[in-house]
Amino acid sequence: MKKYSQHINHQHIAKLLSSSTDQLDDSVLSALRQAHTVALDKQRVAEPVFSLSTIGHRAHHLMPHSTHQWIATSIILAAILIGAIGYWQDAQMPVDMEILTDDLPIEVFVDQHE
Amino acid sequence: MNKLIVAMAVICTLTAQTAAAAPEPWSALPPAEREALAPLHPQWNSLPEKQQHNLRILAQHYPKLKMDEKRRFQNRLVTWAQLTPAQRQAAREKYRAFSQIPAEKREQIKQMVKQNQAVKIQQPVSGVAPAAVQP
Repeated sequence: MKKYSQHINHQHIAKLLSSSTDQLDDSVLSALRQAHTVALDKQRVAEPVFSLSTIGHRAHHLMPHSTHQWIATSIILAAILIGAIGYWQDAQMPVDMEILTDDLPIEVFVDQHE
Repeated sequence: MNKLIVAMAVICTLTAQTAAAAPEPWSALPPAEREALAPLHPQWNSLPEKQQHNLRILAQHYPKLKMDEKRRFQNRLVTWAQLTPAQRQAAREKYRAFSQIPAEKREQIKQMVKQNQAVKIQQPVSGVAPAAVQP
């Protein structure tokens, strides 16, 4: 078997196939060409395309449907917002504090004549 | 039921806003805030509500300060409280503008200010001394 496969000449096979198609009837050839065209038309191109349809579908499930759900969602969002503002205010040193603790004297920034 | 929930939410919001704006007597302040705002103790109850509120926010940052910052804060607090709102706003704007200057230039300005201060401190001494020597 190994010896046989070594003798396989690909070009020879191609010639054999070409010569055999010459021997086919026109009707068979035209049917084959048509099948080939249809197959190419139906071929699915596997290109990655971003689609929002899946996200939209999932988002639809996450959206509140009833009034109670809307109220609960609003309360949760308000709590998150208040928490975020509180955290931001806590993390952010007020500018007043920076003026009062800076190594430059306060008089540098304060205009006493106003 | 829904109207009740909405009404409760409105009441809670209004209550929270009223509580935030309410003036706080000195005796009602938490000990940490009293420590931070100690220089303002004599005039605290006469300060406007809004100013009290702002100062209490500053006091919340006080424990995080370093020792020298705490000293500066307390030394400047009375001066700061005596300024008009317009003066404080102008000072904030100047400070923000100063903060946007590149660090190297800022350091140069700081050095210049320190030199000027040193000269100002020395000037009254040198001005007084000759007068004392003259007959």
